[in-house]
Amino acid sequence: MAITTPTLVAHLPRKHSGPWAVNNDEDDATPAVELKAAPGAGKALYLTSVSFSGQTVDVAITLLDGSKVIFGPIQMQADGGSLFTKDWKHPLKLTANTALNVLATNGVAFTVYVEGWTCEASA
Amino acid sequence: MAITIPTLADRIPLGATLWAKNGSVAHSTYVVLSESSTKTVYVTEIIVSLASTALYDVYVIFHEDLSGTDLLLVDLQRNGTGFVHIQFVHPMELPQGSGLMATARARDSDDVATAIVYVEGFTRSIPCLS
Repeated sequence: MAITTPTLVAHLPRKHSGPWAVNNDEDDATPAVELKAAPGAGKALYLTSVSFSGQTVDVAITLLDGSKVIFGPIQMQADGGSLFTKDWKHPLKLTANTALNVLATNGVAFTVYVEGWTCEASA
Repeated sequence: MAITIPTLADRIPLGATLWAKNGSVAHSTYVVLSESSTKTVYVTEIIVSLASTALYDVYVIFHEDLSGTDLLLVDLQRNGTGFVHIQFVHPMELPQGSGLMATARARDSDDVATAIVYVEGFTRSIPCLS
């Protein structure tokens, strides 16, 4: 997987709604499943925080901007008691009118929690 | 790897360009290009993850592209948590014009391996410390 360049913004745009959060105690995200639906024309999702936790089996978790990888995969080891949290001081902006999806290896259970905002995409 | 002394800046300055990078690294993989000889790259956050369910321990060395100087070594144990997350309270400053590279290797054999990195930082035309 080549190095990619997710988009960070210094501040949230003036026009926004939220904040929102999604929590998914997912049994199987192979193939990817939707975490947050596309926000509609002229809008984009901006992520401010994410948490992953594995369960009983090793799992690598990836966030997708539609079908494009934007974060991860982050590996959760079954015997590592893994809990991963990251806050974006500078929000991570998804492509306009595109859903946030999650992909996990092995078709096993894990938990994902994401916080963010829905804002105008042109800012 | 010998003890190294990365340079830190006191804050994110005005006029800085934010960036993030995500992907896999193997042997001397470019994470961030410097863009030009007059710009300075700063790193504020590094996340390193095993690329898959690991059969062996992996370490990742971050280094400068111009001099090859090592900056930081991160060790990922196959029976550990699977990732390492470093947030720099004070941004790590690379030499002016230098980009950031990373190399992943297997701990036992020193063979080139693969790891996932996510790096945040900013680029500025004038070094913060000048």
